[in-house]
Amino acid sequence: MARGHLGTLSIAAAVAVAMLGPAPAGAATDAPATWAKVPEAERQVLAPLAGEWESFEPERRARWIALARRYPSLPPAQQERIQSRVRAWAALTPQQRADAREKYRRLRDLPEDKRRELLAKWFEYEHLPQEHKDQLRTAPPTPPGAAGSR
Amino acid sequence: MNEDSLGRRLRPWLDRGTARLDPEVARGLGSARHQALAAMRAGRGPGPLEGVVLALGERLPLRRLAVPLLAAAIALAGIAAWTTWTAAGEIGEVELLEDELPLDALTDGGFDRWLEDTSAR
Repeated sequence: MARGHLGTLSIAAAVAVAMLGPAPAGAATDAPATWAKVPEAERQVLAPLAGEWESFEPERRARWIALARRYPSLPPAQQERIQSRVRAWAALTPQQRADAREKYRRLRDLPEDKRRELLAKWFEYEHLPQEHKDQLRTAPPTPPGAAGSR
Repeated sequence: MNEDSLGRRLRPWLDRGTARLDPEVARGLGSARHQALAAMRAGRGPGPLEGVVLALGERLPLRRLAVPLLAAAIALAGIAAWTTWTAAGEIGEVELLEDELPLDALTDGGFDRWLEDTSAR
């Protein structure tokens, strides 16, 4: 009887271990843990992140490596865009990164037409006079619920 | 008082306690004892972990606990998977850098104010 329980417990433990075990091969396993082990070509793309590479979780390193591997096959304009954005990302504070991720999570699921509209608004905003943009940047955030009451 | 005389004095108390034991518990204890004796006769005693499980097995409804334990294991696995996904859900990081929407649009607080102003008009 107790041996039966032992068997049941063993199965439960095996299931738990299997489910809690390492990620499937190919997910994060081939992402170099140290910056020195990152191939030279990929290091060039990810250079702005060199200082913090070792602090990244394996899954995060794998995503960056995947980007660097895709990089050579991208059109030059997109390569340039990636390069400048990786530099800009590396320069952000942890709080700014968290805010950007949070905002992106909200925006990425917008319908395509809304995303295009947002992009058009960004270009419109970009062309505002610098002074106006500075005013907007230093303005206190609108309290929730107050935006529609103006 | 030596061990034997102490044993003799204690025995009536233990016998009385045993007589009042729940029959199911008594059967469980008897079964565990027989298994332990059988294992000893076969030349092996239960290992330390097995011994604990055998002893517990007679006192705890392990079969009934198996389902909650499995559920707890699945829940833990779910939490671990979620943690991995959200760590990889640093997702956004690489994904947002490749997006059409510029990074500045995500970090420029002035853009948010301006969107609020223009949508409120």
